[in-house]
Amino acid sequence: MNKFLKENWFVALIALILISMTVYFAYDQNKDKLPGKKVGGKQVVFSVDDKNYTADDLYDELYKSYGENDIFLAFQRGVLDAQVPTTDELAEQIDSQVSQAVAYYQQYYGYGEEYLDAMIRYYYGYPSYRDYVTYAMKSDTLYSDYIKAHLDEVLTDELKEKLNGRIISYTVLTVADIDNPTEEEAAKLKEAQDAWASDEYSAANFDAFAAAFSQDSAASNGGKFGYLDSETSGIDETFKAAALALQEGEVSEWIESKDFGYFLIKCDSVKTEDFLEEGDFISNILTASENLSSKILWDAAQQADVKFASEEVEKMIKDSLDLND
Amino acid sequence: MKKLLTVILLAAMALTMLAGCEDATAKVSNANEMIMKIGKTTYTKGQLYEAMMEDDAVNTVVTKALQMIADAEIETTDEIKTEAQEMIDDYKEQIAETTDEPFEEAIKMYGYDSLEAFEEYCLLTTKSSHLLDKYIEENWDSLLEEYAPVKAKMIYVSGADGAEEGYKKAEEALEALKSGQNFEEVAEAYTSNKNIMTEKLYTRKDSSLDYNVLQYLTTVSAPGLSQVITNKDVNGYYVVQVTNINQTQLKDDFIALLKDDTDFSDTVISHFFKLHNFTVYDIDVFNEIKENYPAYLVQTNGPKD
Repeated sequence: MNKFLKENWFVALIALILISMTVYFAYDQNKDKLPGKKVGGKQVVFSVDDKNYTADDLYDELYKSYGENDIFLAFQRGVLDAQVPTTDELAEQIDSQVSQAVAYYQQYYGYGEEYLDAMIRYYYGYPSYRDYVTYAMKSDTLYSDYIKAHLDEVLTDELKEKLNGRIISYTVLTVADIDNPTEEEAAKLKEAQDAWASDEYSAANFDAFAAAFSQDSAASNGGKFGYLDSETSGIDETFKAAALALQEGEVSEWIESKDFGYFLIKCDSVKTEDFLEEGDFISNILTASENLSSKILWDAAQQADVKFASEEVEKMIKDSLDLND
Repeated sequence: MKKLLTVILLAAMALTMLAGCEDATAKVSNANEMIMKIGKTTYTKGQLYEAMMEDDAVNTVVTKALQMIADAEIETTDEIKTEAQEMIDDYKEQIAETTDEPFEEAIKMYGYDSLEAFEEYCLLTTKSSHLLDKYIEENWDSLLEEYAPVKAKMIYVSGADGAEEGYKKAEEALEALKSGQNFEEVAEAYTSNKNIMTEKLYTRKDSSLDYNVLQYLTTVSAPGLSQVITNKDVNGYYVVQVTNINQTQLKDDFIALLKDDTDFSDTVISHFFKLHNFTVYDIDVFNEIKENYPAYLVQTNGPKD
């Protein structure tokens, strides 16, 4: 050994320096690392005195408050991922919606995407706003595809009658105070009423009338409102009642609305086939049909060949969907 | 020679690899156990654990740690048992309003397998709520010294119309009080801040108080009137009437004030965590506690700032 060291002292010195540096480097890199702990084969999350609280304990405790909800969310997302693939078109729509929302919050509140992520995580349990939008859009696609494919079964005569759906167009002449219209408002209204009463306009060219006289953004679209039924909310009730009373092709009398002014409404169609691409038609069917969205999701899960580890998990999912009697 | 060099190099490499060790993460047992399978995708126990950790790991950890400490610190007296039973009775009443199910069945919705498990939870929660009381009792003398509670009423005269004018008004108020006039009547006439004219408990740590007023309150030795006190910014004037410095009489109000103070609660929790060697072995939990409750991290190992 001595002979070896005498002959190779330089190499030995370099080796010693190298090993010393490596040992120190390893120590320095690890000295502030958090050490783990394992007891009885289980990993410990924290300890108090000599008592250990393991990851298994924490799992059981968290499950009481969050387990069922998180399993259900995973079920929902799993079914949607299996049955509604993220096509290029869908990805584009998701990107667009996320960008618009982020831009809105940035402009009006000064908050960016991180804020939206935090809010969505807190209120809905999704990891990010993008995830939330993705699964909302996939849900819409799943429900829409199902309803279109099973329309006769879903849209019973009873439901059809209840919804009383139609496509409508309208013209509005705005008046701030219907009991005291200004001169300008009164003049505009008279002009429109005279034009409608003349031979120039009728139901056949209602869109031209709306384009010429309507005083809101729908004018640029020939006054098209779109789909409306008895479940439609967030619109003037006088307007809604008048629209629901019309036959196909019929135009209403001038309808007085205290909040908006004067409407003229046309029923463009009461044919179901004309409603199929209208988002409100699908969503209103879901609202009006008891538990339909749950049944659609469960049906999709069966098509995706869902398997549960236990009857307990299956029962819990069905309870969440309100499918257990 | 070659062999020796090879051994040395391999040892160096191994040691270097050790440098890449990560902070610890505690994983649940049987993490690959299936919960459900949809199509080709399996959802496992490990994934559920990760999802639940995202929901609320840190508050659950802190609550459980406090319960464990409370179990060690607080004796299960008849009084504690009665309080715990009252808590159970409250829950029974609330649950009865929402469901016809028997209580023992209804609590399963909240994750409690049995009535005994729920009773244990209520007992531990009751004990946890007494940790503050225990700390206050054990540290009463030092808290009195640290906080120096007194009760006082104050008149504040603004110097907005001129320093001399303001000071003169404050002196007038003082003279009126010295002549025996009712404090509230004088305060109504002179004060620019009605919030401080009623009797309140103040302590040395009250950050809402002007520095000079604080100095006065912490040195007062008997109830009575101050001289006119000029505030720190020299744009306002106080007249202070100390109404009570009797620590026995102030005890209940002082304890109520402490219990309302979140900084004090953090101090107490930090004290008990240190006393009972609260140690975290999961880096995600560690980092969350560091971000949300830095005072609770009392261990010496783990990442530093």
